[in-house]
Amino acid sequence: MASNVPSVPSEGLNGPNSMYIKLIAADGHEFIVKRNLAYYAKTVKDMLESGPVQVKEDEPSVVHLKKIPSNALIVVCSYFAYKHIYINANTMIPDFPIALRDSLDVFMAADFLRC
Amino acid sequence: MTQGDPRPPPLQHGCDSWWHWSRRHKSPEVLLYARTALFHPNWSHGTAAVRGSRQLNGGVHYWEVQVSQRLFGTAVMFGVCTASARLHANAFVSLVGEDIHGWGLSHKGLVWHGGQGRRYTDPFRENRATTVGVLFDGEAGTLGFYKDAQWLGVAFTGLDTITEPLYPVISSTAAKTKLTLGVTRRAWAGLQDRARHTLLAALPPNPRLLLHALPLPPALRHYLEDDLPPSDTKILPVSAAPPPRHS
Repeated sequence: MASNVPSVPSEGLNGPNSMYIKLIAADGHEFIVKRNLAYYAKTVKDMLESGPVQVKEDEPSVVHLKKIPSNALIVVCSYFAYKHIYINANTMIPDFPIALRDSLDVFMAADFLRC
Repeated sequence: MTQGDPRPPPLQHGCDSWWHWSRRHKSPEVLLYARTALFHPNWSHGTAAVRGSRQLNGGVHYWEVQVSQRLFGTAVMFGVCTASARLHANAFVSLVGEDIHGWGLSHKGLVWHGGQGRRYTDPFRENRATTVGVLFDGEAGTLGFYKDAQWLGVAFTGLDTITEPLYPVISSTAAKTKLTLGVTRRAWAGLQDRARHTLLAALPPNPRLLLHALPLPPALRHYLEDDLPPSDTKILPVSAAPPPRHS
């Protein structure tokens, strides 16, 4: 990736209980999101918690999503944030619009990720 | 008695739910046309009921029933029931909730389940048209009612522990009563549900053949077909504009 992208301090990403995790789309785009938000996707939670390989304390928590393009993954990450803000809200909840050009990819991604 | 709490109808941020009164699961004394159920079209010697066409479990659903002016008799009821609840009786009874298979509100202001009734709200004024809203929360396991846009409170809890399919139901003992299904809404069931809605809103009417042509695994195609509206209904796409304010 570009060399001028700021790097996230590794303490935030390392270990099985890190605050952040990294989701990597099929085209290589990396999305760093809070672990509790990404866990709205049951598949991500299962992969990180019950996967065959447990993350070591000095290794980043990374999930490679080889079948999800970045235009869909960015919508999924936005949805995590939207859900977290408005879950249990009593205020008027705004709609979460999905662009038609992304909708089939998002549909397939949400099916795989179970969210 | 209980004073209603005026509030706007729930699930403004949800979507329309495409169910209707079931032609298969009803008493012979119920006639259906469009979204209206006509009970005992000639004279009544018992209780008749009709069930909704889709199960509710796990989701949050809201629907309204417009009751015509002809409101009298032993019990006109609104609620939910399982497939085991009977939909016809040769006696005038509060049918929804006569046993463990139903949970209902009667126009007398009583709520019934397991054959037990208890006071929930004031009796409805007889022979006056009204709109009853039913809010079923399959996640919290609660069932509550609105009357003319007034929230009357939670009537039943523990419905999230029911494993059998639950359906909307209405019943009446009175001849020529008309109950018309109004809005039917449900909460979004996740991102996949929302993406499905965007996809289906972009399709032309009667898109079943088109869906078969899409390169999708059968399970995903069935999931898309599951939310297709009746052929005369157009899905409105979700907009990016903020929802209108309610005064």
